[in-house]
Amino acid sequence: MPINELTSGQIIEAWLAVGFTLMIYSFLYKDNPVFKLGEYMYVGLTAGWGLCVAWYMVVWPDLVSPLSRVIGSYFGKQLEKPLEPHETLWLFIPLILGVFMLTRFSQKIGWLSRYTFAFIMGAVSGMAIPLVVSADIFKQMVPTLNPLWTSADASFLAIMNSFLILIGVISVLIYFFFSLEHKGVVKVVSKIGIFYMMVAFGASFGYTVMARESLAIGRITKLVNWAGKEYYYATIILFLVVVIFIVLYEIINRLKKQQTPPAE
Amino acid sequence: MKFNVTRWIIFALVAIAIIIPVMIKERITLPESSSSVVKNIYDFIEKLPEKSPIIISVDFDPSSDEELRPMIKALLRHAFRKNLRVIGMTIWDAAAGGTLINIFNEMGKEAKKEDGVDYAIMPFKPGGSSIILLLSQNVYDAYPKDYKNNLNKDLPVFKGIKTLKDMKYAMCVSAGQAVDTWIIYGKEKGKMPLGAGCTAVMATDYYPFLQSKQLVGLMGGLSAAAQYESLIKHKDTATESMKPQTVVHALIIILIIIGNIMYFTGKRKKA
Repeated sequence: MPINELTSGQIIEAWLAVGFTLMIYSFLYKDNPVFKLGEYMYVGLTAGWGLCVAWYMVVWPDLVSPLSRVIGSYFGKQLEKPLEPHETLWLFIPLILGVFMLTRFSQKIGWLSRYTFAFIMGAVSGMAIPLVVSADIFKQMVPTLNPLWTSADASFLAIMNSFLILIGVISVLIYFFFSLEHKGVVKVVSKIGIFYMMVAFGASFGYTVMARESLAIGRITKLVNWAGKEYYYATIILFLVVVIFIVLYEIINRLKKQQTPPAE
Repeated sequence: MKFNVTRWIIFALVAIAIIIPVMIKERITLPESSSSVVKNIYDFIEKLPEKSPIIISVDFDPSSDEELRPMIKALLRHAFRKNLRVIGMTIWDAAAGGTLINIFNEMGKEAKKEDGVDYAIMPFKPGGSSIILLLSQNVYDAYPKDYKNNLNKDLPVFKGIKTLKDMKYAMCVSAGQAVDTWIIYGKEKGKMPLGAGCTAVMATDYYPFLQSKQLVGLMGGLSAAAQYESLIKHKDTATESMKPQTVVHALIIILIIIGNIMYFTGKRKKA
């Protein structure tokens, strides 16, 4: 992209992104103050972002704003679009439950928070239990309990797949059957179960490696793109800054260690 | 300080294996193929009639952006090309700002689609599962207004939509538990066809849901995004990333073989 097409905002964004990426990658050398700074900034920004989202997108528009309009109209103040009390008075329930959560900080009235937790637990359990049982247990059992071959036109691979699932489920279940000693037939079947699990873990690990590679590729692609003239060589300059800082830090640390008398 | 040379050599090799293919700007043609699980999503969207409403849940934060953004972009390109009505939402607060709005507006602009007519973006609401349950009862209770504060009932994109059941397709692209939430609460109550996109790490967790037909299809990681890009014939960042990915995969295979040889020869020497 030619220099004149980039805004100053895009260039600052690139410099910040490069800086933080290199700060975090500096951990590859070892734990150091540059990495720690990047880490703390990341945690702080994430917490700050979460708080802002909660306030500006949830608490303010859904709770404070409607309640303030009701309270304002009660005191005769005509705020933008006054609401009827019955429309929003129920909001006092989540408000009170929310305030109860904060009582956890007090030893005297901390017990009030139990009402909120009880409400949350009850509501979530009520919502989740029937749906989770249906989606994660019953519907998952159906393909396992399917007949091995259903029709004459079932393909050879489909039949093989059904057999593999049957053998896999039984052998893995037997492997986890700890009340039986693993010897004889049980040992053979549980060994088959181990192979099934090894295949599953292998697939999972392969995917994990691929995911990490993808993230590294994405970051490095951006670092390479931001190393250009149009970004004022952000990657090259910041890479040198980080390297120089770490080298100086290491030198100072070693000098300090040499000066410290050995403990008796 | 102990200096672990082997670790450093591996880091350096992986870095070189990524940097060199990234720096080669010439397009390298890699064999194109798509797995059936990715193609199922493509085929499903391809068969939808024009103006069908679909919902896409964007549930990831910048830490998974590299893997999941290409997926959403490819999906939106496909949906806009098919003239579908797309509703974007998130149940993840970290996606509430830049990620969701940014991708939808970028793709909308590229396809010359109008916000409110061809697509709509919902603001973040907390609750995750309860929001999805609410959507299955009444879309306007869950989201009375879009992110620009327009009343959703007045928007043409919402024409004929009352609940999740009116959606012809739902897609959750997530880096966390959102896919499970959509399967448990969205699919169970909404009954709409559901597809999922996730990071490669999570992909194996969702394969059982394909067999039980709770998911129409699954996109796992950057390679799935590249497959989708090749299906819609619009190559972008995911396809480009396959160059370094192929080289790094080859490198890792070689390193595993070397590691095993070293392990076994070391064992023999010890014996």
